[in-house]
Amino acid sequence: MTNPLNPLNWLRLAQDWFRKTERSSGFRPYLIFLLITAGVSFSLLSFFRDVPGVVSVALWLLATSAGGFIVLFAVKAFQEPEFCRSEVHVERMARLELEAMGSEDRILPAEIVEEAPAVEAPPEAPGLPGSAGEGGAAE
Amino acid sequence: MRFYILVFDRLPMSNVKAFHEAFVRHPGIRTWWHYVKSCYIIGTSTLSSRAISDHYHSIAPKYGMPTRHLVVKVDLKARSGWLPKEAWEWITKRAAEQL
Repeated sequence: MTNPLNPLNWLRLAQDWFRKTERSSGFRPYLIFLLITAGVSFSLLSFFRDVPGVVSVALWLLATSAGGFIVLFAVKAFQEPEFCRSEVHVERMARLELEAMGSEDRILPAEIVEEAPAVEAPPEAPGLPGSAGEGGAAE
Repeated sequence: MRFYILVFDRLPMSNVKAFHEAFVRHPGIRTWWHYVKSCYIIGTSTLSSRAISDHYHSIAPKYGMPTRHLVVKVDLKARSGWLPKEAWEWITKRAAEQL
């Protein structure tokens, strides 16, 4: 149970949150949108500053787009931190998070194990218990 | 040493790396084999199938792994299939240590 009075718990929560957001590519469309709206706003301010209302519209556009998305992402970060991850990103992260496979004396990355050619089971040693009529390697 | 196979149906976004580290850290697990994604072969002298199951069941939910699983004692000498060469080498080597 998290103790709200313990600053270490808050620190851990913040670290967990940042770890999740780092894994997400959801900030990419946010930044693209902000760049577009900022470009439009600054263009309006640069070229049409003398037209009545343009300055207020440009500032309103900039403020609402930035503020709206900050609120949206703040809410989504708590509800569903991975909501905007791309499939490629998900695939790449899933691959990175693959466990070490193999065995205790030969730990191998999962990718190597998965790509290794498969061979059939070696023949069972004659006379071993269970070697007759079981398995099927020698059948 | 006795050998048990643990089988489960892994979920796509499970934290499998952390699960693996927590699972094989159990002091009763002397040796392990993990050449198939949703399957472990465990070598142990002290654990029963129930103890392995309890161990899995206690840590699986923490890492988004399914709680449904199966633990069965296996005879490594009676084996067949298609796997990487290293996987067979482990099985052949450990089969000699099997009780």
